[in-house]
Amino acid sequence: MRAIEIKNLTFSYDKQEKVFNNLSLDIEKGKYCVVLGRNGSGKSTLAKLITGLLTIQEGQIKVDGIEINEKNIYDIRNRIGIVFQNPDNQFIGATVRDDIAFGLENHLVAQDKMDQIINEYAQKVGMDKYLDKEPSNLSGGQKQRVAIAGVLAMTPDIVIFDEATSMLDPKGKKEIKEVILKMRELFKDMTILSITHDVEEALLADEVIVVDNGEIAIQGTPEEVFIKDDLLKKLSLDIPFVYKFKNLLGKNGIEMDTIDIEKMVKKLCQ
Amino acid sequence: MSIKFHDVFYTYLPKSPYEHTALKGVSFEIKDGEFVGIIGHTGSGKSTLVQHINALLLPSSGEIEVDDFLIAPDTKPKGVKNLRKKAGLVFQFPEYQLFEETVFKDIAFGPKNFGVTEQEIRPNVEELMKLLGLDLNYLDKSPFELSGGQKRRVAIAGILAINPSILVLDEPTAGLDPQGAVDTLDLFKKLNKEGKTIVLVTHEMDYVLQYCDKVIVLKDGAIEAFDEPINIFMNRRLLERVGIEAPLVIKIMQQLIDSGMKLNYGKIRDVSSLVEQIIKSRGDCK
Repeated sequence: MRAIEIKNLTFSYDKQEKVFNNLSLDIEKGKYCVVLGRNGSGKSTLAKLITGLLTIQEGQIKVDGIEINEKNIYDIRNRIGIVFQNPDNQFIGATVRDDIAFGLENHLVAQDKMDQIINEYAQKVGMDKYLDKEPSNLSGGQKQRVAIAGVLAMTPDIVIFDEATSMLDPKGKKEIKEVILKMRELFKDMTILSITHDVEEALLADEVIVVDNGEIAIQGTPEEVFIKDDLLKKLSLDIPFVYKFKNLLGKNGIEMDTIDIEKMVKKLCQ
Repeated sequence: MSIKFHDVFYTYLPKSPYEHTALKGVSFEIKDGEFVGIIGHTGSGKSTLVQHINALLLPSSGEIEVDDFLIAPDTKPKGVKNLRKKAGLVFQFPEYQLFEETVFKDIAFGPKNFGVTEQEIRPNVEELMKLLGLDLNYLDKSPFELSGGQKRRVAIAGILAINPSILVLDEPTAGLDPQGAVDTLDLFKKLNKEGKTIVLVTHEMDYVLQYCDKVIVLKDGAIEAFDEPINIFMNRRLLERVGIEAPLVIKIMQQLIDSGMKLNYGKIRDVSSLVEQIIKSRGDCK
């Protein structure tokens, strides 16, 4: 089953330049997909179209098999959660508890149930000890984890991370990646779409989608995508370090059939 | 232009319940023309430190010498405007400092403030935009219509427009795509070769290894180490103490050395130099 189906999508902000021209893309349910592409390639626009923050001009987008239109957009939005880039812009509550409660309150969840849900999801992202803390006492990674808890509490089918780690330090980035891996374990049917510049994150994904110039340039497993280092370079994209290493060794006549560092080191020292 | 810190302390909100000492006796010297990285955990004092270089913050105690300028506690140094012309600072989120109606006006704001006319500035602005990979069609667009990465490029162009001799860059590549980040750093390296002193605050250890001559390691507002990047990254105990991970290239190199390969590690800065050295030393394993 497909979580997201995009058919012949065409979109432009100002009529002159098309961001997408006849784009089609399928994303299977339960997959963790990483979307890569240079600044201005249309990555964030794609996320905004899927969530109905932008109106579809031509073509169609189906979420869980239902085509997005003006009437059902609010229903569809309930199925999708988004975590944005800037941790400070999306923290709404005065405390961690209030912030996670925000979406639940909007959905008129009863008070006693709400406390239980807040505790449950705060725990899932490792923020249950911080429920009464104010945002000013939290690191960027912690704020993003709270945002994720707020999104998960709404039990979405699809979660989109729109460059959610790009303003974080290495520790914060690591925290978010760990939360994503935990989400994979806990919610097997949940589809995760992560728009990022962090190619190392792409190593963890089931599928990598490379967007360039409003088109899908490559789609496949990390292994299938990162073997194409020359093409990726042409698209101004980086590849994970282990693949750089493996590919460059290969070009120098040393073939590696693994990206496991220990195994590669062993082979080099044989 | 050299930068000297003499036993600098800085305390935020002194004598209040929120009092916090962010710098605790920092001393070092950056020589004219060096490319120096500053690394450390969030909250280790990196941004506080660099804001002293152009007197945006004045030390609570201690002194800073930037060329002929003396920055001391309490009073703004004489000729602070000239100091800021010589030492340009690109903030951590430079897109927050954009405010003009058009990209041109934003980039031209600094030089205009220092008395250059708009006509004189124009060719310079266009050249800078080309250097940073910004389309000239953006000249009359509002900077707020641009994407995050492009906003960042405009903000950097605005600082380069005043042609400072010292460039202080606080996380200049966050939010740029990888190619944009490398292009921007290559540009800083080129400016460095032309004589500018560069101070780069970053969390990207790969860039520190590739671009910096030296690196200052901060922890809890004090300097833990000041050395060449390779020496810092080869020092596992130091890295553990300050909670910093070495670049993957170093980790692979260390595993190879531990497994008996005799690598000339002083020459390794990135994946190509690593593979080059491996080819040279491959027969040398124990």
